[in-house]
Amino acid sequence: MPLYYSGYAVWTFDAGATIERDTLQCNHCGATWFVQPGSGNIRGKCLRCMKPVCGAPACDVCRPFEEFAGKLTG
Amino acid sequence: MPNYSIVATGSTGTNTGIAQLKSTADQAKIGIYDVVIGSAATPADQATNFVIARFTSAGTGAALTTGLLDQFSVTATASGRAMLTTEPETLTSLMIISLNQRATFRWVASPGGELASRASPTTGLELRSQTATASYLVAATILWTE
Repeated sequence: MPLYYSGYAVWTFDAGATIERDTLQCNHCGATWFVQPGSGNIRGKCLRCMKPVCGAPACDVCRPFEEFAGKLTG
Repeated sequence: MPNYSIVATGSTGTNTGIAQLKSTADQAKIGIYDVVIGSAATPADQATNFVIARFTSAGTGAALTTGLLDQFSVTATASGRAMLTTEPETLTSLMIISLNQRATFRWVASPGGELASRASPTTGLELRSQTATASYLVAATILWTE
């Protein structure tokens, strides 16, 4: 497991076939994407918070999402 | 943390809201952790790009009934809407889902991997059809925690 996966997705087709993908989440903006090796999309990993980042220019600067949005407290 | 659900149906189209979750309290942050999307019409080879996006100004639509996954939970502070007549503003896409009408989609978050909105009364999250090759009815189930 190269990075911390944020979730898991399944597409189920009418013939019973399935496609399964892990997802990763940007630790700065919260965007989530499906892991697909060879997709050509450039992502990254923040070396300050050591979590995945989406690759958008706005997320180059380290600002963990919980820092400005608050934690899920219940 | 208490968990809740909404079930919504809506038609696909261009930038058409299917379901919306709006926070109504300053302290409550919404975190979507389970999404199921499927066609509610006779399937054909049509494709739709769904987007789950964060908004800062809510749209208007028909109120949905919130289900409590644990009947002894406190009432949810977020409220659900469907059949949106006014779309939310300032959307930030969090997840893009490409889906054939013949397929059903499910995504489940790991703990901590929820799609989250800010804790503010006007903000929330929306499931919308961004583009579609045809208009057809879809059903979506969204589970969230606060």
